[in-house]
Amino acid sequence: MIIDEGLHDVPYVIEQTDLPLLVRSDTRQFLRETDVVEGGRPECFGWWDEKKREIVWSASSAGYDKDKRTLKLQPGEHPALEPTGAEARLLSGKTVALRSSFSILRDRLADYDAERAAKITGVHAKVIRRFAREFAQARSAIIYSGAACAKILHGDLVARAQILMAALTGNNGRPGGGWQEMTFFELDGKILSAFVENVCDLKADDQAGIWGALTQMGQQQAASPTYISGSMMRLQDAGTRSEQLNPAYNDPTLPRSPEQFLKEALARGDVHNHPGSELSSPEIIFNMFGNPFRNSRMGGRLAQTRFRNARLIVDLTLRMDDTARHSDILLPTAAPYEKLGVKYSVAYPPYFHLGDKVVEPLGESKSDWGILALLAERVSAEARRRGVTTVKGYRGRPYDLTRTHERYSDKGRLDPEKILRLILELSPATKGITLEALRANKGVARYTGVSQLGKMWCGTTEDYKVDEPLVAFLDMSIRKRPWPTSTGRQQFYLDHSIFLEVGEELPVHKEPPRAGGRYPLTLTCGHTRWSIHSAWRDLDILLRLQRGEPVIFVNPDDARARGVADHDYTAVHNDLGYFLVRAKLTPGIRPGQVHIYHAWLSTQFVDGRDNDSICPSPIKVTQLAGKHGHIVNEIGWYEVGQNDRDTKVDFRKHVA
Amino acid sequence: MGKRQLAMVMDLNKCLGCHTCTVACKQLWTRDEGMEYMWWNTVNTMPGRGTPRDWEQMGGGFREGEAQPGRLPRRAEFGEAWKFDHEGSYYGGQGDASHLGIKGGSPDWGPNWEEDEGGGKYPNSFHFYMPRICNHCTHPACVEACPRGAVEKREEDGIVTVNEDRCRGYRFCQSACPYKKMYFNHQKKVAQKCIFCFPRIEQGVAPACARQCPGRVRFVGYRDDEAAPIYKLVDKWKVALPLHPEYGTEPNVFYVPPVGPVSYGADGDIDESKPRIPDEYLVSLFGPKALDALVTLKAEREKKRTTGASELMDLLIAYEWKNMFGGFDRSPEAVSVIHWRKKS
Repeated sequence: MIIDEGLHDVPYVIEQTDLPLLVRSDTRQFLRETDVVEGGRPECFGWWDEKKREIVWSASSAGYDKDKRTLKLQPGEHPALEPTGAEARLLSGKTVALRSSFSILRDRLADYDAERAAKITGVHAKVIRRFAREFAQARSAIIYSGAACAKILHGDLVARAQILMAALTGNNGRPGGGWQEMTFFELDGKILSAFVENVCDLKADDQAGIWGALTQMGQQQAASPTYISGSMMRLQDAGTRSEQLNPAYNDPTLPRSPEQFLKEALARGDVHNHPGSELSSPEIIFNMFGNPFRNSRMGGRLAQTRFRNARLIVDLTLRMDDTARHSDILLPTAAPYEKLGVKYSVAYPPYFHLGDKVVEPLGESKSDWGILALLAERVSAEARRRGVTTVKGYRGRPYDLTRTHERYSDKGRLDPEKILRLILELSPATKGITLEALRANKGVARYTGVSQLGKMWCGTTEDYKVDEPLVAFLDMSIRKRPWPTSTGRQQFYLDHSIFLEVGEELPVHKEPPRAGGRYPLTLTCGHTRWSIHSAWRDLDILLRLQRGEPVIFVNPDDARARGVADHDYTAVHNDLGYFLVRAKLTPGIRPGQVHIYHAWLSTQFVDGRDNDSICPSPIKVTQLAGKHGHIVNEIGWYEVGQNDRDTKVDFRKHVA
Repeated sequence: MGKRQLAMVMDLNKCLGCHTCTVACKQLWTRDEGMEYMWWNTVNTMPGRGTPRDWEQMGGGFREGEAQPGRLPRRAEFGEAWKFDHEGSYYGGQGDASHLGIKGGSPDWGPNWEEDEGGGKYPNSFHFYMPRICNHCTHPACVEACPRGAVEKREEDGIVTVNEDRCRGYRFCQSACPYKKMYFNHQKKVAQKCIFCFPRIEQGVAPACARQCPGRVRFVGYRDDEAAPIYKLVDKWKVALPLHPEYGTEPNVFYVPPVGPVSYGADGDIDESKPRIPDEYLVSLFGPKALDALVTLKAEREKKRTTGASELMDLLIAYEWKNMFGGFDRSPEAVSVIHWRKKS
């Protein structure tokens, strides 16, 4: 509709997106310079110039001459959005017809008129039309996306469609406009102080030195990652594999089974953190900063699998959560007000938030940093005593145990306060902010700049001005710096073979999978306002302001049809089993929806079975793509994830 | 009539039901023996039966100046302070069979039992949150009902308090209060209630429920302070109204009624003229003036949206929290000595 009615922002689309770029009709892949020019630049993409009637290589491309990369069009350049008669003569001598990804998109969009969209969403076509027009014509319109990829199987498609809408309407770069997820004021000092040796010797004014340390760190990580994806590990030893890979719970249009996609990705090494022999179920588990029993779908199965197989389980924790209950040794950590720390550096409250120590830790508890320092000290001493020096770390990487404490504490120069000072000093976002100034101002200070890393990853922008709202992506929309994608543009067309195979090269609608079996209702979940995830979920005073035990919210019509009344014990069930909860009836819930707020501890359910126990979390096969331009399997960049909100269920009254 | 009257305005358009107010009050005032079940501040999802359950049907107050009979709310209608078996669950050796449940049976009511339920029919469902404290009425039924003179309305600021030394636990105050905001301490056998945080007020600090509200819902100040927000919202703009004015006690807590979303027709039409929260429901809570208040609110919202300027909307948005408290903006930290409790 937006395109048909000419409400799209053509100059933005031509300059900032991959939609004018040319796609080969034979392979459905982008045309690359290497296809047509001997010794051509890899990852160099072209558009059809409508005046010159020839291919022009986009200066935005990742493979373009490094110093000349830009989104800015040169005078005399006229990219055609929908070229006619475009073709290329390949190195093989064959001639192929070319289309722009925009013209392919336009064909696809023909399937989605407002009536079809109404059928899919249950939102009336009139409302969809009104929304589309208002969004396109607004001075600025924003989509603030809070839940997609980690929530539903096709969350990536949803997010890509949202970003497409923001891009077609040219909203990025407008104050209060565009698509945003979480823009962070990345604190470079946090990463430096955690990973760089001799961090105390780094100086804030030596930006070259800092950048060098970061680069070196990135190279080390790429060469020999020290990180194993939790989701990949779960597939291996958490007892969830058969559910996660069950084709019946996945996209029914997949041409092959999820298992085959996984095997292929592992064989090709596209997913670098594959479970090799060195990653068999661990003998010793040292868990910290997380509660895998609660924050993994089917997490309770760990008790019978990974945790049962381990010889020793140590948990660094601040409370008796489900993971703590299944551990051998608990190392009690200080609670937030008992230690120095930094809170989320999210851009929507653009302030540095200090979490300061106001009381001493209770009982035997200590700060997390302090506990690890003591352990590191002991490990080093014990290694020296036993004459054990270098051991093999992950993937055979050598590690000198006797130096553990020296490295951890930077030769004894670090402590929590020193680390905090380093973070403040070494992060451009906190330039000029001191610990003393923070303390004098209740722990809050407006960020003074943006980080190099943040600009690359998180959408912050060089044009940030203190006391003005941060507008994300100005580096691209104003300064014309390429986006961090293969084409250097907001890239909607993904020509990796998996995306092409499953028909997701462009954002499309796919029916939600039948995760958990063929049941008529959908289990949805959301953040509780009673706790921060599972922290404080079991606090008496807050439980008294609820119903004291887990509840689901259901529509009164659905409840009536099943003979369920308010506060009845109800079994919510599917192929994987059931969980028991009280029912709450509300017209605020859509018919067909069963809603539960997240983060209940399993012990709060009457028989210990929690809502996560029936979420099969099918894997998204396109997340197994890798080694393809910007589609690379990297920590915090592109990984296999979990999801829960496609879970199909029914419920019945439970009689004990 | 006292010298001055303190008052509060709560903007229901901003309340998100987080209960920070409830917990702030709980932590400060009602942790002692016999007070566990008390919530001087409550927040309930509307429409709903509230707390104590069906309090609006319990009578009390005045009609045309005549005291009306009221009934005593029962313990079960407030709900108990449930206890949970943390010890047994964590250290009882039951492993995965352990259950962190409510000790001793299964309650059927609590102070926030109907949270997020609301009314209407999907997709035209609606709900809003209504926080309630003692209304510190100008014509308090509890004061008149007490044969001991134990319930007092303070001369200097109109705060209604209970003199526990005089109280003999007759509980007439509880029946008489039409808002059922008088509580009974079954251990100490005395009536207890919201004190508008008077020890803080005396030091220039706003009540905890207001000061800690992250939504900036609550305005505090003297009723007659023409420069402060209470007067402007209640008397000048007439958008803040007492709850159930027909109860005849002249509350000093006022509510800005919720505008709510508009309704959505089966044919996909969004009818801007038809509110999802029925007018008659708001009138049943705040009287006929609720509709005038909504007209004013909508007009001023539109004015703010189109011109960027509206005194009323600027007040309600509350750009500066200090401007909400009519001078009661000292930090509780800055007050060196507050005698929170009477020395025994």
